[in-house]
Amino acid sequence: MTAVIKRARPSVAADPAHWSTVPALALLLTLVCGVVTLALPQYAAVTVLALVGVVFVVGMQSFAGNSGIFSFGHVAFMAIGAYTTAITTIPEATKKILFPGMPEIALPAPLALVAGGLLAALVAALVGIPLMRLNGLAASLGTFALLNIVYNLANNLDAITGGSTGVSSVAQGLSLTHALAWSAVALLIVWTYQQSGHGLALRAAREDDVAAQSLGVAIARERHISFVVSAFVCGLSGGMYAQASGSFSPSSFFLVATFGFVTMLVVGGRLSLTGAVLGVLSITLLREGLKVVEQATQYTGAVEIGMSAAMLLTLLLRPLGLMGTAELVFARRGESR
Amino acid sequence: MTEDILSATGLVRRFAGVTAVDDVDLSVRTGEILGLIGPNGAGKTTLVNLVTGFDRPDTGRVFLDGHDITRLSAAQRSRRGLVRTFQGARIFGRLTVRENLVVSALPRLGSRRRAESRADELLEYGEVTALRMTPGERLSAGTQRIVGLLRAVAAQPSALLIDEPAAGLNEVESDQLSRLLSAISENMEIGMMIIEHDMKVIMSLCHRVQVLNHGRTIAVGSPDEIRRDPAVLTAYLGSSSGNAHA
Ligand SMILES: Nc1ncnc2c1ncn2[C@@H]1O[C@H](COP(=O)(O)OP(=O)(O)OP(=O)(O)O)[C@@H](O)[C@H]1O
Ligand SMILES: [Mg+2]
Repeated sequence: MTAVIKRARPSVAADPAHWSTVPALALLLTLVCGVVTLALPQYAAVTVLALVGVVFVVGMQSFAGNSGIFSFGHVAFMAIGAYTTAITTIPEATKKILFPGMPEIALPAPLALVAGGLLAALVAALVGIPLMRLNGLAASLGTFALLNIVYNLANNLDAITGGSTGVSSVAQGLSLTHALAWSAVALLIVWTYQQSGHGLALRAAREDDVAAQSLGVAIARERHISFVVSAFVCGLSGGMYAQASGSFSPSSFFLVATFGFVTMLVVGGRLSLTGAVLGVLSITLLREGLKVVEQATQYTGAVEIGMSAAMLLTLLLRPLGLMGTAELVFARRGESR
Repeated sequence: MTEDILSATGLVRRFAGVTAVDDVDLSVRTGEILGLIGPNGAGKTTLVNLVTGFDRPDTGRVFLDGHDITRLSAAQRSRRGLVRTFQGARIFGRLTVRENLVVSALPRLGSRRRAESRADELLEYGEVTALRMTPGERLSAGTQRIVGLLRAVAAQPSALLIDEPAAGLNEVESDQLSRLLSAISENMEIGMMIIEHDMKVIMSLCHRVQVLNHGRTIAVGSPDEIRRDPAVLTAYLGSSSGNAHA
């Protein structure tokens, strides 16, 4: 058995339902972690953040990929997850001194992450009611407005969020192993949704909304379901980020983050789960490489410009990203034809 | 009257300048194939849009199995058993042929597994099983029509409206499609309405034919009656389109 990439060549029927996509991607991520642990320990922290990115971008892909609507607002769900985890896991004593206004709820770390995901899903369920009636660009802009609303709430609800200075002393930390495990969970959730009847109906509507309606697909409802699922996963990633970084502020979840994640999904390929994962890995690699360049040349801006160039080149040369509609799968030698 | 699976009364649809559908009645019984013909621009597609909920009539009502469905959305009508196909096949390009059918079978059957086995049955029935894993966008125009029809049938409609199934097909494909249509009509509890310019298809398949011209019904009757109807002959000969190979 070898991991191969199924190309969508005419003779090869792409079979995205292949069961082995999630195991293959989990194995790929495990290998990356193994290499980092053994050979590049100085990149352990970067790798943990990359896995946070994997969870986020995979979550965003489950909406953008299946619905065909790009979202510029999913970082808002990440913020909700991050603040939930911070508020529920900052030690009692620290909280009393630093953030006396915060609610006195304490949760064990894994539960805090799930709570963040659930809260993000709840918000998505509510804002999705009006938002998911919009089509195409209007829907994308609507998600952008959501991002701005959540950003400003985080900035101004000082008592709960710590305001613009943000939150610190989220003590737990996030190990590489835990980050890897959460990535696998995220992949499994998103894959299961994608393979469900709901995911299939939404992809049909993405391909042709009129034909989908003629077959009884309730498009707004299907989009809404997808929005909630993806918000849950992105909420999880926010909790992971809070644990991994220990401190953050509202601007951690605003334009720079949004641009970075959108770039990852575009470059990797928005229609593919494998594309989401590869987008995070390749852009992280690019970003770390450009940081070295920045340090060597004293020129700050190389990272952002380089990432923008990557997005532009992808849009021009390979509009569906590295992966197109293909997925990584296990196949016996020869089976992939 | 209540035997009609599908009926419509007094449908009117005005666009700026034209009344595309002008006081049209319609009735289709289970087991029947009704042909809807008329010169280009006669209002056939508009009528199908009104009946299936893709457009709203200015006045008039639509009934499915005795229930007034005039106010339901297209998707709601479809889930109740009123399904249509399109002048272009509108296949889901990046879904496989099988997935195209599964999407359609899902609302009725609920479970993914049952929808899949229904899809497989129909692929067999339409002799396209070999293409089940092919993305829709890779099919020829003729095959897309056949898959589009099978996809509509996968929804298990009680009434099926088919817009120009044979347009652009060659003789062989057109015959294959006609056979499939009559097999569907004979083997399933279904009322069908077919829009078609190819008179050979209409005359061989339809039990009854309704003729539209300038948005109005000018004749309804058996294929033989329609062939001899003076008003129909005038409409076709008088129109510049002359599309009817009668
Ligand atoms: N959305 C629209 N806006 C304005 N006019 C329209 C619209 N749709 C149809 N029409 C007009 O209504 C009339 C009927 O058009 P329709 O498409 O229903 O004809 P048809 O019988 O299906 O013709 P064909 O055989 O060419 O498919 C035409 O004059 C057409 O130009
Ligand atoms: Mg027409």
